[in-house]
Amino acid sequence: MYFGFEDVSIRYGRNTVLEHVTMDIPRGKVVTIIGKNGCGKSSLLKTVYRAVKPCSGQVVFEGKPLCEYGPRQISRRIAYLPQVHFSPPDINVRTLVSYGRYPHMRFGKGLSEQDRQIIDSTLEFTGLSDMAERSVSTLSGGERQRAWLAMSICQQPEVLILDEPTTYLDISYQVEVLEVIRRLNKRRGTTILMVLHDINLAARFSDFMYALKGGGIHACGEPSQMVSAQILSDVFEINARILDDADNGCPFFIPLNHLKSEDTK
Amino acid sequence: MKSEVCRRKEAWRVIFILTMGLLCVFSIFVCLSIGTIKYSLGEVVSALTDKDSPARIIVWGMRLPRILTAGLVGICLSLAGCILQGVMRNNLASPSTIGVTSGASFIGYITLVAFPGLSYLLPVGSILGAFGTTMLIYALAYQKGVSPVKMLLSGLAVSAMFGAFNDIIKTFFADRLGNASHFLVGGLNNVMWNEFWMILPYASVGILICAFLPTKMNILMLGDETANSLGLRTEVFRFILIAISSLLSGSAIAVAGLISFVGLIVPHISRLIVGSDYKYLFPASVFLGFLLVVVCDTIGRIILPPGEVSVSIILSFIGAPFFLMLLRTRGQKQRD
Repeated sequence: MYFGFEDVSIRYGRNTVLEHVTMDIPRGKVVTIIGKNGCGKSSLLKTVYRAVKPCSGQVVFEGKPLCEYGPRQISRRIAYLPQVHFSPPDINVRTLVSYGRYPHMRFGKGLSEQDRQIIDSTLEFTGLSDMAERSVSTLSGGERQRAWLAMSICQQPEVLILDEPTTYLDISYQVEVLEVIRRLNKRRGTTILMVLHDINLAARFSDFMYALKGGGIHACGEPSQMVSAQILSDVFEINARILDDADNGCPFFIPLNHLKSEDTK
Repeated sequence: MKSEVCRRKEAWRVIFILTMGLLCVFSIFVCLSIGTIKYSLGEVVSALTDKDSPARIIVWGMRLPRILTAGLVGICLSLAGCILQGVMRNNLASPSTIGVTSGASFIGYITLVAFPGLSYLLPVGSILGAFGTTMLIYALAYQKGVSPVKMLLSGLAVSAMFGAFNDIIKTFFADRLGNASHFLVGGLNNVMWNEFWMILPYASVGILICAFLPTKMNILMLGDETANSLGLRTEVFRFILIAISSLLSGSAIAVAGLISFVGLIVPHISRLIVGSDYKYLFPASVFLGFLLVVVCDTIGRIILPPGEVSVSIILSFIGAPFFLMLLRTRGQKQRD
């Protein structure tokens, strides 16, 4: 296994969130996890940097358990962008992005010339060059999300893990952010693992999808297999009409009604 | 490449910090010259260089140790405040608001009572006390970040509790506490070279370590999850920070007792002027802390002759309104 989770179980107190989940994230692919709120998607991602400690199982990277790597070693190769961000109000975009170089910095040394070049190219890659000196608090939601994403990209990870990178953004920014992610995957071969709420967007931008339900993996496969009436009704309890986007070769759906509302009819 | 605006901002910060540094040096000479007996700058310089100068006893023997100790106390408390505000992710944290000051003096008292002859152990006692109290508050108030309300309330309760213990000790063991009057009264009256040398080793270790912290502090401010993802072991680092802030505040408390306000307002004022980047925040706090305590102590020394007013009273009188003013004007600018 290149990267993934092996037999991971997560419990909060007595409440079991995930049980014996094994998930394989192939190298160089964009993998998206979908599922209802509280199904354990984010918790699973949080086990990578131990914000959530699994009661059994482990995270695996290049065939070895992640705990065998040192913390800096991991952070040079795997980046994780949480859903909620904290930043000092006056920090500017360039400074924020530059923190992505921290795992690569030597003790007591500042940014090297090479680091600065990487920061500049990352700013350009994410389309932030023009606002590099603006403070993060003055940016719009989409720009801010791109700035944080740029910090993670600046880490030059082999695996990038994103917890709902499009939350609170309008559709234009959602697509913009996902395009940056896709471009990163295409150009640099970065393996992407993310949680998304919008299934149509997930299908459009992923190579592979996992659907979580009831503490385990309910289904997994390519987007064309995953966007099906059966899976949508099993996992999200909705009836949906499945349509096909011939241009992108990817299915999409229109929600019709919730299963519960059908019962009451 | 960096823009002109950005470079100018950086230059302004550096200039501010350098100016503050120069002001610190300047303040030493001014404060050496004024007092009940006034000296000219020439007399001060000759007192510092010439052992037989008539002003030697007062300038070298009394004023200089007091000024240097005041400065050291200021530096320690401001750095401790800076660190605590980062660790707790909370701008209301400071050695006095979270009860560290009273916890440290409690253990200080115990040390004095238990080992009456060994007053050089006092800093060790108050550092341990500061550490214990900070860990206690942190444990009480921590739940995925420290909630401000919980922190202040537990700080208040812990403060009151240790304050009561302190009063009990003062009442019942008054005879054993005779040789540590500064610590008991608070303030810097009659501080001599002994006190300065007593805290210098602890304080300088703490201050030196701070020179290695700015980048890590900046990373910590991004939140635990992000900081972990960048390879910072936040749990270990927090523990180290608490230890360092205890070292700093404990040393200050060992000579100056209960001095409040410095640890709270200096980091704030520095942040309002140079921003929240710890690369600038630490040096700015060092100089501002030095300047504030030295100037306030000197004012306390001369304001009501022949008596003296405690430095903490002057600090509250000058520090509080200045802080309020800055908060108002600067806050508006940032919003615009």
